[in-house]
This record gives sequence, C-alpha cells and structure tokens, in this order.
Amino acid sequence: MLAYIFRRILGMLPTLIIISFVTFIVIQLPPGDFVTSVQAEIAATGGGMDAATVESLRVRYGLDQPKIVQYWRWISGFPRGDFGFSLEWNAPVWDVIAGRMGWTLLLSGLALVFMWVVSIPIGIYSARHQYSFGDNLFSFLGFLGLSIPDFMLSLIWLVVGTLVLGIPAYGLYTPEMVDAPWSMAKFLDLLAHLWAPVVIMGIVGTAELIRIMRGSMLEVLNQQYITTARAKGLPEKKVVRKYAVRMAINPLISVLGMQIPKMISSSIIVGLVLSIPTIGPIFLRSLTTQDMYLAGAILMFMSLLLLVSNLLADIALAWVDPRIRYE
Amino acid sequence: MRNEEKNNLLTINNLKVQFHTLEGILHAVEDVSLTMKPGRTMGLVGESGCGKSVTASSILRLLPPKTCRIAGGEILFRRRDSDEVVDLAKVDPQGELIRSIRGREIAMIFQEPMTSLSPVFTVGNQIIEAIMLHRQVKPEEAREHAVEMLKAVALRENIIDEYPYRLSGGQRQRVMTAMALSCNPSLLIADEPTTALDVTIQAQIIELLKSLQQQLNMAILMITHDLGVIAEIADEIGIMYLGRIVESGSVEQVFENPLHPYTIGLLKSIPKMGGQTKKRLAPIPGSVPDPLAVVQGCAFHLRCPVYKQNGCNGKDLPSVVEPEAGHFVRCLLYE
Amino acid sequence: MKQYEKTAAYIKEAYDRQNLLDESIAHQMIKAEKNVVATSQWRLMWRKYKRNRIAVAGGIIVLLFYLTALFADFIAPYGLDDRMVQYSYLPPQRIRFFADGRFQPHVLALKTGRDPLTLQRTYVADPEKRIPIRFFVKGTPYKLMGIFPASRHLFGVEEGIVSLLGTDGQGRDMFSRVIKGSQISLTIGLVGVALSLFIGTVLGVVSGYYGGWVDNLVQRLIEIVRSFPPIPLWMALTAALPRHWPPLWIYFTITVILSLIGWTWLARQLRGKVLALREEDFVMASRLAGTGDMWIIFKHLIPATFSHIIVIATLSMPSMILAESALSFLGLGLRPPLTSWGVLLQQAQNTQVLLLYPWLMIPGFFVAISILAFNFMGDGLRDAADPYTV
Repeated sequence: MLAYIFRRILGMLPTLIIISFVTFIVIQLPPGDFVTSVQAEIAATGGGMDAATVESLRVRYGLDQPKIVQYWRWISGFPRGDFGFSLEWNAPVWDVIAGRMGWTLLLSGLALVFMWVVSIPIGIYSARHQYSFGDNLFSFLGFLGLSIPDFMLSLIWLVVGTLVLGIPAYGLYTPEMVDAPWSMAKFLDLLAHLWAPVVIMGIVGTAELIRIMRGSMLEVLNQQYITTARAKGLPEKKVVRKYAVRMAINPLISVLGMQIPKMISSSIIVGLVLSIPTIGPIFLRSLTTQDMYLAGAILMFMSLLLLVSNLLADIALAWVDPRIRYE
Repeated sequence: MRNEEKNNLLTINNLKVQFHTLEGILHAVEDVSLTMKPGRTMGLVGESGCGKSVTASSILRLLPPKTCRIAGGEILFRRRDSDEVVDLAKVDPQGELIRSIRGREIAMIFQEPMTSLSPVFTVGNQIIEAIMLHRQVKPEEAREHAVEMLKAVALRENIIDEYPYRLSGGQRQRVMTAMALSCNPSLLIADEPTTALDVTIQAQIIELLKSLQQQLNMAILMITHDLGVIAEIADEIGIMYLGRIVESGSVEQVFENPLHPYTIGLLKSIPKMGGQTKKRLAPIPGSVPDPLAVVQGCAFHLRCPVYKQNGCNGKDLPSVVEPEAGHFVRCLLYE
Repeated sequence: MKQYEKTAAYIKEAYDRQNLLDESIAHQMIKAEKNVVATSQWRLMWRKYKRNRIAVAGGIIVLLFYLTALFADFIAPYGLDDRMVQYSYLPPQRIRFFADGRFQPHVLALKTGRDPLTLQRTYVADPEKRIPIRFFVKGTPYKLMGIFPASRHLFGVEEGIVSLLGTDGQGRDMFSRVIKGSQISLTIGLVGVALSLFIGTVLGVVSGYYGGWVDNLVQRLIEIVRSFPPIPLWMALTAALPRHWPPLWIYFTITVILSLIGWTWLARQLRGKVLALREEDFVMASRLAGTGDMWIIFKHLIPATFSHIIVIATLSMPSMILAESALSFLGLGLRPPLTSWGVLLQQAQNTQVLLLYPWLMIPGFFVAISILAFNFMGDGLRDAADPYTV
C-alpha cells in the first residue's frame, strides 16, 4: 500500500511540472508584464508601489531575462513556500490567499459531506424502489439540480432569501456580527449564513451522485452474490447493507477526485454572488487586474488540489476494494 | 394429504409463475409438478428460457418480488426438525420463516462461480456468516467448522482468508458448495453448477456433490441443460419445455426409452462418444418461441417433427399420461 | 412392441428425415435476422425515444428554442439596443387577455412618478387606459436571418411599451434581449460541441484504433488537460483575450477555449467504444483484406460509433451553455455588443441592483430551461441508443 502511494506521488511530479508550465504560459498571455501594469497604475492613481519596490521585483523575477529564466525564478519559489508577490495587494501571495483558502476548503468540504449524506440514501432508495413515485420524483429533482447553474441558484437564493424570507442571504455574518468577538451567537450566525452556500455548491454534485449511486445499486442488486446472500437466509437489510451498498459505493469514491475541483470551481462563483470570502472573488479580480503571480498561484493551487484529491480517491478505492489493493 | 406424499421431502403441485414485464405478462412456469424424496437426486432439464431456473428459484422464493408472482400451485416442503409441512408458495418472501429455511434446510449453488461470491469479503467471512446465522455458535467454532467444510470440498485450509477473485472458477464453486452445505441442508438446489466450468473441473464437482450427498444424506435438485451431467448424478429426471414438464421418469426410463418428441430431439442432439463422426448432430428445428406469446395447445407443436401426422392436431392441450409405471409424458400422440 | 414404443420410433424417424431440411432453414433465418438488425437500429432508437415522454418534451423545447433563435428578430418586439429611457427598470408587465368580455390582449398604460424617499422611478398602471397588443406590427427594422430586410414584429404596441420581462437600466426590453441573446447562447454551444466533437472523435478513434504509443500519448494529453480544474482555467484563458478584439473573434476564440477542455470526455468515451469494436469480426475482416487504416476508421469505426457520438454531443451541450453563461456572467466571456444570456446576467451580478430589480436575473432561467431540455433529450437518446450503460 505504501509503495503504491509512493509510486502515485512520483507519477504526479511530471504532471505537476507540465501544469506549472501551462500555468506560467497562461498568466503570461496578456500583453505587457506586470511592471507596465504597475506603472500604468501609478500613472492613473498616483499610488501603488514606489520605484524601488518595482525595481526589486523586476530583479527578483528576472523580468529582463528570457522567459525560461522568469519561469524558473517563479516556480523555484514554490517548494520554499514562496508563491510569488501580489502586485495589487502589495504583499506575498500566501498572505493574501491563506485565509480565503481556508474558507474555500471549509465550504467545499462541507458541500462534499452534504452531497454524500444526501445522495447515498436517496440512491439506495431509488434503486430499491425503481420506477416508484419516489424514484421518479427524485430523478426529476435530480434533473433540475443538474440543470440549474450554481450562479443561478445563488442569485435565486439571494433574491428569495432577502426579499421573500427577509434574511440577509449574503456574506458570512450579519453586519453587526462582523467585528464582534467570538461567541455562541456569532457562531450560530455564521452557521445560518453558511448552510445555503454549502447546499448550493452541493446540489449539482448531489444530483450526479444520486444518479451514480442509483445506477450502481441497480447493477449490484442484479449480481449473483446478492442472490447468494439472500439464499443463505440473510435478512434483506443486511443483504443490502453488507453486500450491495458496500460494492455500489465504489463508483462514488472514484468520482470523488472529480468532485473536489468542481466544488472549488463552484465556490468561486458562489463566493462571488453571495459575497463570501472564498478564493473566487480574489481570483476573478487578479485576472481582470492582471495580478499575474496571484492568479498563477491560485491556478497552481487548484490544480494541485485536483491531483491530490484524485490520489486520495484512488487510495480510498484501494482501501475498500481488495481487488485493486493487491494489484 | 395422500399417503404416498408423506415420505416426500418436497412436493410441487401445479406451480405457475408469472413475470410482469413492460411488454406484458410472461408465463415463465405454466404448470409444474414434481416430487422429491430425501437423499435422492432429481434432474430438471431444458433449454434456456424453459422455466427450470425459475422453478428452482421459486422454491426458495428468490425471485424478484416486484415483477414476479407465483400465480398458482403449491410448494410443500417438509421441515427437518418438526416434520411439519409448509407451503413455500404462500410464505412472505422476505419473512422470518423462509429465511430460517434458506441456507439451513434448503441451500442453493449457482451457475456463475465467478460472480456468486462477493469480491470484497474473504471466503471465510462469507462462510462463517452463513454458519453463525443458523447455528448458535461462537465465532471461533464457526471458523473451525468453515475450515472443516473447506477440507470436505478438498480445498486447502488457508483459502479461508483469501478473497474470491484470487481463486479459480473450480475453487470458487467448491467454496460455494462448502458454504451451501455448511448447515447440513436436507435439500440442495444446484442451478447449472458446472456449466461455466471446464470439462475436467465439471467432473470433479459432480463427483464431489455425489460423495457429499452420501455423507450428508441430502436430496439434490439439479438444474441443467446438460444431459451428460444428469446421466452422471440423477436418479429421476424431468424434461421441461416452455414452463411445463413434458416428460418425467427414472433416468433409465427416459434415457433408454424417450417418449416425447422433444426428449427424443434433445437426446439426438448429444454428440456420442465413439459414434459416427460423419453424421451431423441433429438440432431441434426452430427455437424456443417468444415466451410472451402464449402458444395455444401443445407448446411444442411449432417445432414438432410429427405434428399434423398420426391424428395429432397440436391444438389441444395434452394431458399427462403414464405409458409405463413411473414414466410420465405430456404428448397428444400418447393419449 | 408396445404401442408407445412404436410411437417413439416413429418420432425418431421423423427427426432423421428432417435433417437436411433444417440446415437451409437455419441458414435463411440467420440471414434474415442480420438484415433486421442492420436496418432497424435507427428505427428502434427512434421508437424507444418516442416512448420516453420526458425526453420527447425536452426535444420539443430544444427545437422551439432554436426556432426562436432563428426568427428572433421577428419574435422580439424591440431591437437589441432599442432604448426607451423613460421606461428604465420597468418591472415585468402584466398582460391582460380579455377586455369587456372579449379576447383582446392589452397592457395598461403607465404613469411614471418618483419615490420621494429613494428618488427611484416608480410606475403605476392606469386601469383606465388600455394599450392593445397588436400582431404583425411595424417596428424597428431588421434583417430576418441576417438576409431579408423586414420591419414587422410578431407582436407589439403602437404607443407606450409592452415589456413581458421588464426593462433594464437603459430602458431596453429584457424579453427582446433574451430572445436575441438565445442566438449566441444556443449557437456557442453548438459550435463548441462541434469543435470538441472533431478533436475528440479524431483523437479518441485514433487512440483506440492504433493503441500502443499513439494511445499512450493521447491518454497522457487527456490526463494533463483534465488535471486543470475547468472553470478556473477557462477564466484565466478568457481573461487573457485582448479587449480590443472584434466581437466575432471573441466569439470564436471562446468556443475554441470551451472545446479545448470539453473534448477529453468525448475522446475517452469513443476510445473505449473503438477498443471494443476493433476486435469485432467486420473490422478484423477488413484488416485482413488489407484495407487501409483510414478507410477502416472512416468507413467502419466512425459510422459504428455514430449513435454514440450523437448521444455524447447532446449530453455535452449543457456544459457548454453553462460554461459560456458562467464566464459571461463573471464578465470574462463575451462582452457587449455581443449579447448572450450570460452577458445579460452581468447586470444581476451587483447585489444591490439585483435586490432592487430582481427581474434582471430572468435570463438565467432561460439558461436553466435550455440545459434541462438538453439533459432530458440526451438522457432519452442515451437510453434509446444503449440501454445498458448508466
């Protein structure tokens, strides 16, 4: 098992290098380098950085050197924990995104939990009561969930929550709570604000997982070993729990790796619409203001997250399925 | 109850099973009656789709409850401990009663040894589970017993901790047999247990079943389309066609003196060892008709070589006649 | 010999006589069956699809949407940029169909005022003054399908305004803009899917057919493309588009960017299909007969996977439409004067504006409905084409 994990991590390295190349090219795409944009900013607003800082950054990132050197200067900082310098915020990238990274991961994690907790029982129910009223209802709701884009759900929630239900449906806290010290009331206030974005982020994934779980359960329930288990005299509940669900859950785990980046993408949009300090708003801003090192670092982090979550999914799969474990 | 039925282990009377599909009602089993005595082997033979597997599964009520219905008849089974006779056709297919019979008094092994064990649990886990379910024993005792069973089916002891996917088809079928026999059932239903195996492995499994049958004194209901297997193991035989038993009797009677045109066709289609190789095998013309279409009268008349001859019009439903003692046939030619 | 033994002997003879006959019968049956299979695959698909009511409904909605897009200028009562400044931020109007007990669709005339507190414009309907809705009225001139000059619109009013979905801050009719926006929203998906179909089919089929290092290379490529989270990568790429590009360039570049990531799924699916087909007899036979690879690929493999390709294309439409509207919504995709549903939604991005004028998010419902329709349709097609895959 350990050897397997080690092999997988080694296998990720070339991919990571290629990703960093592509990321570097992408953030270099807009015309001009950041010095020109900083100078433009100074010209426009008269503020920003002083000439000495600009000069030191120029040297630090080798802007007068060939592109390959620039790439090396940029990427070689990553293993040391230096993820670049945000021009707009005039601060190291890590300082800008650390807190937002936390909120993004928290929201994504909660959404993931929500998806699993909701979709597994529904998938089991739907498969065991195929074509029943409940099954049809859930599959219709699933279609709805798949079809309503997350930005639309956020907009609807914003309008319905604020105008119809009369609760502030955006932000993390109600305004008077923002600067209040931590207390039970503040925590509850946070929870009251958090659940909606979590649900919105989880809905598309939930719909997908219900479909997968239902299909997988239907397939497993037709397997011979289910009949074998029944023929032993096992109660139906145990047949379903031990033999069917245990197998049917495997495809769910293998899509886990694909779900996490979707969550991250979704958190960008939901964060923007509902004013939640995820990585989203700042990523969008870094793209429009051409804050290249910030954008590049965020792109790198998100790709890394995708790779790591795929790895975790594979490990989990190997853990539950002996056939993979021994190969 | 008639006197002769008293010693029977299992009596099926006029069983009728229907599947409700989107296209209509499928009459899988039209009218099946058979009797089984303790310690004897009955072979049920027929082409795929003739209803033999459905008959077998309906004894244990393993058919999908939503689409499948026992529309008539009775399945009388004699309980081992109480000698009481229950009608399995009437019990709740998920109820306590049938579950106490499954695996304990009637066990079943299946055609596909590759898929009939769960790939994610060890062999031991799955056997021990069956033992613990029906016997009040400690886990260690159950494990000991499982090891004994594995030895009885000529497997190594350490297989108990293996996962099924690491075993060969033959080994898995032995594991299945060990599991099925672990609670010493009085009836074993074997649904094409050798079909998916190599010829040599087939012979081993058949030998194994025969020897275990003697040790444990259990009855076997062998479902197969392979007449060779039947000849090896069975005492009685029933030939099924489109949901009905068209001919039944002792193996000697049916093999040496087949009566029904279908049986005769089946026997002619077996390649004979050392026979004339130039002669073509005789297939039975046509194929099993669409089971959704209900054939009027004799179900076989569409494929029968002598239909419309000798005064047979095929349109009447033949009844069962007994030309010689213990040898039954359902054909208009013999009426 | 007893009677029953005679009968049995008679049956045996009958079998022997039949022997020769059978062979030709069996042969004919096999031939007939093959013909049935070959000709009726599409008909079977169609029959199965027709039985799925939800899928049929989805198909009809999709068709309606495209018809609307085709005749958008005619259906929309106003032009894309007709500003009626006196009616800015007008809420959706109520259409009344009956007046004085007769069918006479009309809207009520509006009196504008100003809220003394917020200084916002307010509209009050005047029940006394009905403005009848006329059909085939003259309005803003346009070119139908970009060719035929015309000025008649499906419906409109001669005075005042008819605005089914309200207006935006510049007094532009949202209904007309949504109808016009469908042209871009719905075609960008088509073009994007067509492009990714092209890349995906070529790479998927080639990778599955040749195997070996070609397969390895393509699979590596897919892996790398897929190791980027799609939305952020799309965002970064579209953000890099120069602001001064002409709209048409932007449109096509965005479709290219969308399909750059969308093709991987298709390629994977087709590769699997081709891997299975490669071993089939008819491909083997062609190969042994010395047919060229390209011939086999285009003559046998692509046609054999055609139903599959259609299903996959239908199922990838939603993600294309979704991606375009999400990007445009964020302000990174299409930009005015190009108008798609996503572009229209940009106005809803500002929380305060949205809460004051919630009808600005209506274009999003059209995104959702079109995606839903495509999902229904694709699902039905998938079931019809191949009932065994989930």
